[in-house]
Amino acid sequence: MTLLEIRDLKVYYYAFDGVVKAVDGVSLELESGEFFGLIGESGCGKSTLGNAILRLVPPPGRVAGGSIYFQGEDILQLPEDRMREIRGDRISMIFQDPTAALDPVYTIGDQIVETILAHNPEVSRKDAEARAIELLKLVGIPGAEARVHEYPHQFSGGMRQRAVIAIALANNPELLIADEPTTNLDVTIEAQILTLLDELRRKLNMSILLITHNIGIVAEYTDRVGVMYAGKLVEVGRTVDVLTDPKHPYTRGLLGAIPGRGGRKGRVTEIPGTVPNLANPPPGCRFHPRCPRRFDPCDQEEPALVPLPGEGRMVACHLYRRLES
Amino acid sequence: MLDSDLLRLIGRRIVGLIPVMFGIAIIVFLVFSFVPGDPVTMLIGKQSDVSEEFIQQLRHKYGLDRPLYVRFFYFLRQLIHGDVGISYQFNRPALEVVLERLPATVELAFFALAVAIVIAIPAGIFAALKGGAVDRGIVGLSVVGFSMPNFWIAMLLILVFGTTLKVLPISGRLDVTLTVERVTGFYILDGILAGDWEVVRSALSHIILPALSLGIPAAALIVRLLRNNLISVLGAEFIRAARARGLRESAVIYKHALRNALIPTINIVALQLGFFLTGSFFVETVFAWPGMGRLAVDAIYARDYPVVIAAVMISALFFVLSNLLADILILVTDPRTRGVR
Repeated sequence: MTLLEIRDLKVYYYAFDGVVKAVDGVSLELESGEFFGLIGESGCGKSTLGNAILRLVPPPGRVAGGSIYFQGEDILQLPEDRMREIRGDRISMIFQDPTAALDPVYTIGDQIVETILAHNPEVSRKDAEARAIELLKLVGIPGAEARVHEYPHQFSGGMRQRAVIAIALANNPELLIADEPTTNLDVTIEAQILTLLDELRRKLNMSILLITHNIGIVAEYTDRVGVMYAGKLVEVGRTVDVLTDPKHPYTRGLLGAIPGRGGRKGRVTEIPGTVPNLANPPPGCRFHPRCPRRFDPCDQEEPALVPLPGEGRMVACHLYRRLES
Repeated sequence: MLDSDLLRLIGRRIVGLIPVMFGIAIIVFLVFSFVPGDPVTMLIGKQSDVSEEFIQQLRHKYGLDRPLYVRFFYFLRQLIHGDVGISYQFNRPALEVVLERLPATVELAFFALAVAIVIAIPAGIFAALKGGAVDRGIVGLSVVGFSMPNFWIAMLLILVFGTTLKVLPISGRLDVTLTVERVTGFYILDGILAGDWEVVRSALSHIILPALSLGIPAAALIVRLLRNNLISVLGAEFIRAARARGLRESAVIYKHALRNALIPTINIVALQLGFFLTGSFFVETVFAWPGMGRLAVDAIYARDYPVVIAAVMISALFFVLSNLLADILILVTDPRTRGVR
């Protein structure tokens, strides 16, 4: 069942020196219960996409077009108070830096309780507190009964991210957007947090949209993956398919840049050139100035996302349009 | 944890206060020993028929004919017993003279602080939330507000409300026709205690203009600070996270943003309170307010250093107390400061 369907989403930042098209016509579907990885370099628009789903793109950014259907309802059309009811209740978000995402002057318990009460005013404070302890246990915080009364600064980094996850899970959301949830944590904690998220996803039957630049964790945890480049989705498919047989030259380049795999004789290769300026992206395919396989139409015509053989496999590259026709 | 932190903080401040008070008393004593002019000459003033013998007698009475180190020794001995000496002008214990003036200053400080807070907090929130022209307008007004010296504001207020509109009294603490039994020395409180509403009304109307004169520049400063803090907190990740949790905008702003923005503002408010409590010479002079600031400045001119020392010591005490109050408030509002030795 389709939980979330993004159609031709455009999110632009209206800056002083021009319009930055951070997300420019992205379409994407998320199934209920699936673990979806959205991957790309810094500044490719993946975080903006995540924020747009909750309609929390920071100014001067704005959704400039498209639609986002959540369980069949276009949430971009909802009035603000209806949208507020969805945030933290049916769609939750966890952030890159758990230290910055928690209010330093309230206890972890207060922050869970207020999230529960914001969506369930009929629940008593006492029940909400009991639920807060239960949530802290669920995310594996030892001594939850005592720690519920502690402040964020009394938690370690990994424990803070667990607390942030507990807050996000407070109302059993159907979708969890995780925006680089482990970037600020060390590698062992990273594995713990992602394993926890994966377990909770199965247990609570929610979908996770994991936004990351780390191909390793995409390979290990996700069912499907989408690759973004310069505000566009360039490739999407089952994680095994995309990572073992990448179609788009950008995806190939990304995989070649991982130490210990691909490349010539085990050497790490890099993608030449730099990420384009999204205020003034190159014409045609945005990857063409850096693409080793560019040909005639690439610098003029923008490639559309077209289906390929294989389950849900799609790619936006002229190489495959030619194949198809 | 909060309780033990509070006790430790209060204990440490009180212990720290002792050397501060002694240090201040000694500095003021020594400074006055080197300032030209002496109390007796000032006391006699322009009277020319005073005999040289009488002057010598007075100097002897106050010990001014002794060498500095002897006077210093006597001074220290007095100080240990909590005595700063006899006022040359009033011929009474200096501390008593200062304490008598204290309620006027404290009452005014309280109202000035109330004015500052009542203006600054809503204006700061409004500027930060509205942005644009509203923000620029409030920031502009605040620049004007703290650029005007408070005696100038006092004169403007007198001109408008006192002499032109004639709606508010411009001098003293109470109508000259009224008296009230002195219990606390705070006329408004004494009026309430005596059940004399005429006194309360009169005392309130007398305090409005001086309180505005002191409170407006302070409000201007606090507005700026609160606005800046609030804008920076509103950009913080935890505010976006609070919205992502589906909290109402009012909870996001008043529960999360405002509390975080108030923490760094508390110190400045306390500093302002400290200034108010030491008495503003200018405002007290313009409004003929019988407070400590005016007493202290008059005492300096009269070289009445026991009174100066008493006033400076009380001022220092108030500064320490207002900072202590700020630290207590911060300890209560900011959990990160607790449990730190």
